[in-house]
Amino acid sequence: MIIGGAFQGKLRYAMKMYPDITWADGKVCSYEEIKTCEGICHLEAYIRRAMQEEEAPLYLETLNELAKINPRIVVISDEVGYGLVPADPFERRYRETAGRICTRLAADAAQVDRVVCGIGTTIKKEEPPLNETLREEVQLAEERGSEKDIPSAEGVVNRVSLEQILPEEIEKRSFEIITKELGDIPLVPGTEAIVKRCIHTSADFEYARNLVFSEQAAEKIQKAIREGASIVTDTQMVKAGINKKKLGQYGGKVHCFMSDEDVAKEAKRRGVTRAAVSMEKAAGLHEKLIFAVGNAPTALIRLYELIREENFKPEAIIGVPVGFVNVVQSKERILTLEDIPYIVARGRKGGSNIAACICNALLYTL
Amino acid sequence: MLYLITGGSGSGKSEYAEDLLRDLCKDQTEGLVYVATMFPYGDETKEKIRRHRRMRRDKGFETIECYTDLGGITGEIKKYGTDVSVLIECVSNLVSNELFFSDTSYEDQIKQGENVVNRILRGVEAVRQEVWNVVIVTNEVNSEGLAYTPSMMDYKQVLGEVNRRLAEMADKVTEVVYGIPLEVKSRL
Repeated sequence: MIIGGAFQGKLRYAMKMYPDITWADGKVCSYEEIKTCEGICHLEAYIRRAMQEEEAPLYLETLNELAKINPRIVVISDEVGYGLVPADPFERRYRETAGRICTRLAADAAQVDRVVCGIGTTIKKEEPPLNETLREEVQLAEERGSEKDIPSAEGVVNRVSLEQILPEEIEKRSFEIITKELGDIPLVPGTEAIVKRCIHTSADFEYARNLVFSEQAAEKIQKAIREGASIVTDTQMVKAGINKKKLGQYGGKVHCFMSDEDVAKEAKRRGVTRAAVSMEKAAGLHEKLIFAVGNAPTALIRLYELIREENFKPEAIIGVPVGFVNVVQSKERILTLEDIPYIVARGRKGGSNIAACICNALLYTL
Repeated sequence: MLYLITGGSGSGKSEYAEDLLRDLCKDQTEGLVYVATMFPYGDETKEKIRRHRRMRRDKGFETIECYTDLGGITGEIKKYGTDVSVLIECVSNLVSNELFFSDTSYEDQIKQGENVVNRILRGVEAVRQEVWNVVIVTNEVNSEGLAYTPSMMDYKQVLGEVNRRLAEMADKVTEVVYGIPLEVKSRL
């Protein structure tokens, strides 16, 4: 249903929205036409005409039941209720009737758009439930052909809403979609693969803007991996997500100390998080280490302190914890480091999956 | 809380307003007061009043009739308890009653410093002080281009000003378009 004041460009808007349907004109069409037509403009004029006929009650009843009689119809109507109550009794009745009928039609409509100065705003929209779409598809198929043409429910699902795609093609197709939708958002050369993989993992295009890379971070981290650096994570989930086989080709391992008993005891004794103690344990390894933090801001904060106060020098930090408390602050601290390469997801977003996917993006482009 | 509901005629504002007040006072079985402002001067109006009464019957509203001087009904409202919520319908009638039932002309009322706008706003404020929620229904009458008599233009001007001032006071302003609520303002 499309509504709005007179001369606001409703019909033009409607023709753009529904270019393939034919329109009846409520000013001149027959009273029967509304039961079968694809679209009707000037419903308000149709109502005014109908009210002057002897069979008015019948015509108006049809309008109230229109959603049942002609469920796919597109209705365009002027809004006529925005003025003083008219002195003329018929005009009063007309305004009231047009309002009541439009209110009823709007209640039944799947979508209502209101056009002001040619610009439409959708003020109501109902998505049909999927099974309803399915039922309609099956019905259509039944009408079209013999029984053997009726597709299985599964076939219908595929045809209605899914792309047919081979399993090995899915990732390729995903990256094509991401590249297309990124459009001309500028990405730092050398970071594209990482940004796109983060979007691929999360379906969140904000990563195109919130990922911050220190100078040549990707190249430096890849160099460290080639030289056999290991990766330390703050959750088992990050560890599980990293491609350890690929990392192992260069001699590196993935460490996560979160479940270690000594870490748990120490954390409890000092009243700090296990994530913070994990970072200390890693710092004591005296290996080439890359840190991938996807969950705990306290891990990042402790890392920052170890670097600033105790001269700890990791190969790099991937700092992408997710959340609301101290997450933003912990990341901003990492962004102040001058000598340590970093990749940080600025703001609240991130997570273990993002930490793992950045590691993998670096591994896959080696 | 003060809610202002506006919209064109036949747009479903009354029903929306009644459902809103019912919603605000979910478990309450009493203390819902309907302030009716439409003066029953003809068959058509009487039919409209009957229609609204029918709609309210099942929703549990008590009805107070008030054609002018909204502030004067606070005593009557108190009779219905301490946790009362009120639906006032509608401001456009109240304005026309105040303007056209009065012996003095609009110009004279302004001169006397006792104009209709202030009287209505003071009335709303007085009611608001006494009750929990106030839902006010008004009417958008200023979006058409027909020529009117001077007294009708006065009416449109006063109603326009009352609507503006009520919207300033209100915690929430909603325009109802064919039964669909569109939020105009909300400080909730």
